[in-house]
Amino acid sequence: MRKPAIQKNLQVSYTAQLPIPGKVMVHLGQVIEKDSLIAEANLPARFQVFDVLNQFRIDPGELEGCMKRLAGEEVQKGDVIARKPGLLSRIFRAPEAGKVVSVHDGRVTLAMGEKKVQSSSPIPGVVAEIVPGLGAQIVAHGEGIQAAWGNGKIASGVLVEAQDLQKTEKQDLAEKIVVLVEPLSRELMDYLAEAKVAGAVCAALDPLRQAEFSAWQVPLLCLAGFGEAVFDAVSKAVLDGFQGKIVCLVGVGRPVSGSQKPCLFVPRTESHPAELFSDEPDTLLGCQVRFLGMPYFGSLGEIIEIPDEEERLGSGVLSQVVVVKRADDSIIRVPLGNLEILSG
Amino acid sequence: MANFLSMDLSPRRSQFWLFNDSSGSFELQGYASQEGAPDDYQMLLRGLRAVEKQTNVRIVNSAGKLMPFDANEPGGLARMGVTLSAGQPIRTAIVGLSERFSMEPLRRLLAFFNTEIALEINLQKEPNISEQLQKLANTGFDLLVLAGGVNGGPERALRAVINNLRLLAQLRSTNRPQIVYAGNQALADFAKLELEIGDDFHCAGNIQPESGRVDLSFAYPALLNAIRRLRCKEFPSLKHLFDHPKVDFLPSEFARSRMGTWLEQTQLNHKGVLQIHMVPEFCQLLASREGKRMGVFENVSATAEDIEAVADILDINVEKPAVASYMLNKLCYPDFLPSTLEELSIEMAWMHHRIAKTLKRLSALDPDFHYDESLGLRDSFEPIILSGSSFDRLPSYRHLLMTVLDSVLPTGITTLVWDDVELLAPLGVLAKADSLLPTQVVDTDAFTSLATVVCVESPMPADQKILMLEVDEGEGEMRQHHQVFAGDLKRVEVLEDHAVRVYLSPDESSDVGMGLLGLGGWVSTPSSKLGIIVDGRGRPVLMPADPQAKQETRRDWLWELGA
Repeated sequence: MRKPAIQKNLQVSYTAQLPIPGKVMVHLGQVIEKDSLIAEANLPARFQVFDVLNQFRIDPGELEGCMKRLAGEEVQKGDVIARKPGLLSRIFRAPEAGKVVSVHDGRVTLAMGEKKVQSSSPIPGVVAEIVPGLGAQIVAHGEGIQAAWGNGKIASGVLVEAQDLQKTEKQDLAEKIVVLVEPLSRELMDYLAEAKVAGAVCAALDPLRQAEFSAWQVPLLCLAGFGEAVFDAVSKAVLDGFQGKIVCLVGVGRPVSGSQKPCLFVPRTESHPAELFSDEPDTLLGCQVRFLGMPYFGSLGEIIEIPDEEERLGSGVLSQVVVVKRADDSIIRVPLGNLEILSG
Repeated sequence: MANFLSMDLSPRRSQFWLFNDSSGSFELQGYASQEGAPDDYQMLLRGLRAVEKQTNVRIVNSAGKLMPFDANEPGGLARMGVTLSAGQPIRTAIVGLSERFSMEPLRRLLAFFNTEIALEINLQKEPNISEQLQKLANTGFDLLVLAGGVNGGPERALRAVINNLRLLAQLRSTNRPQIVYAGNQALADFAKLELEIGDDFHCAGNIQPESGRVDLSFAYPALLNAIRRLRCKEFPSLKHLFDHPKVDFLPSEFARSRMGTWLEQTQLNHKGVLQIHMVPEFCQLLASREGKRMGVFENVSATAEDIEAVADILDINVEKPAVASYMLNKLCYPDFLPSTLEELSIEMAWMHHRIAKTLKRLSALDPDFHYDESLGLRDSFEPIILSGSSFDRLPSYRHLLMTVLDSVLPTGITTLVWDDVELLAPLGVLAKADSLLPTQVVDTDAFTSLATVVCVESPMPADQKILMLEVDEGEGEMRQHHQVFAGDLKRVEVLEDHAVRVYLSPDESSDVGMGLLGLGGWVSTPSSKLGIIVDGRGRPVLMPADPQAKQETRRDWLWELGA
């Protein structure tokens, strides 16, 4: 049975990890706050490899006599690392402060400067799994709603709904997650970015501007998907319930790769055994659903019948269907895959 | 009786097969398919229990663990194969000595698998070893493949980069990348000793065994081992399975291509074997020709260019925003089924585009694979084997054939075959355990023949006769005679379960792939779902310029294949 999009105890997992290996700073089971440091890598900012044998034109046997510093030694700018003795002496000096990290096979490697790469968790939660050397998987729970699409970014902040955004003072929107009731135009995107909102949630997006939404610096979540739709009543009631609360917007996740869906949730601070809050409906009958395809995209209905036999769709595709009653009492037969189950 | 179990783990669905030779030769005894993430233990258990129920072979014990492998025990499992297409693309770095003999072959090698290249270092273009180290240290990757030089050739540049890799391995001691060395073999031992990274080092043969010749087959065993180790890290709960001594693991694309290579070697028609496996998440294109394995793993995308291309090949007028909505929403909800004719048109056009895009990519990567989007395949492949849930969701075989025919645009005479229960991956992985198994299972008519396609290339203008056919259904029945005109797509229906002979008599300027212009002859065609399809539309396909007329023509072709 598919889990509904709206859950009282939605489990959200997020893997915070470094692009390159470093040190994991948390342990399994650790409770972490938002923005907690998960992993850190200290890398040399620059490397310099000097081929002593070839540059000095010496034999391997002469190398030891030329080396003035050993691996592991700290060096200052101008320090002599290697010197070829003789009438025409040649010298290799440290171009800046650093460390000799390797003297090997006739080459000396200097590491200079320091570059710190950090990974932190944008959501509060519990460390559920350590990814050795890279980071950790953070698991959080809370009342939440899954979305069709997110632009890959994460935010948290107080959820607000602004009916007429252009008339709202920008400072009132700063660091808030804004529920958009109007279509996300170019002008509105600029306005929200200038207002420094933490994130935005909308019902549907213009499919021809998907690349623009993906690249937008503001974390964005779209509940129904791409097309023309307003918030359905069930999702809207959930968003209304979230107003004024601190919510987390997790815009990452791509169902096509089997990972979790993007979502918006109110993190729960106290721990509850998950089974007490099982949101999975026992039967699909009576479930409230949202249509994913045209011509009913974004509209609501309720499953009233589950026929046993497969049926031919208008396209000719043979599929198991469910019978859905829409708000206007019309009855539609539709494959389960073409519906988002909102709640049981 | 020997029982062989196989399991294929894909992103959202896993499949299970059990083969045994209880009837005297190997046959498929049980098959199950389960939806769920590949590391969902309960899902795996449900799948295995479903196969147990069908076959009465005990696979898991009451505690949900795999039964011990014992080929001598009646009903015991002899061996198991696991194929995997789930998982994120593997971030890869490639390092080589030259563009032509290292970098291009490495790109080709890695495109075969689910990988993405995060870093390329061509040692000729980037001779500065400090810069090389900088790039290696600053880029995240899980797999590095190093190649270059002929055996016994110059070593200096390779030695320098191996030194850098040694340092990198020290810097990344907690999560080291897998390193595959496929270069000058004189340095293989040096690389192993220098790097000191144990099982994270994989020594392959030199992909350039002699000057000017590239052979990627030398790199596969080492690369497969590296991929297995990476997937173990990605799916730690499956590690015991992947590492089990009686379990063979392969990426599903490689398992399928093993079967493609075997089929090519066993058939006598001197043609290649092409496989297209398409699921909502990705498309695998695998070609075996003249003993060479070629392939591309292409993850699905819906970029502005993809949307534009799909909108251009619809057979119904649908506004571009609706096309874009369908495609983008399908990425969000991969189980979505086309329920209207408009949605079906988009779905088919998207599949057409995905196949053509993958063929084009392989053609760009591999100089031995020849495909042009308007001219189609330039080499002969027979059979063309199709599999995957995307094809399975089409309304009929004619929809499937039309989608593939229009994107592949084969040349000459070929047979399209449908792998109903996706047997090629399990057979490919189990072939190592018992080579009789794939041979005997393939002989059990395990595949569905869709159609024999005869493609006629002719310079004749539209509506001019280019081919005459004489169809002999045997058993003393009257022979059917058909004429084919330039621009025609014609279906010759024959009785199902009935192999027929066809005499092809092309016009003197037309080519049906018999080796010479105007040369025809008798062709035996196997029984198939759609019979014989004659594609006289030419290459490029004759199409009206007007968009509406173009759509109408596409609809007519689909109708021609049968209502």
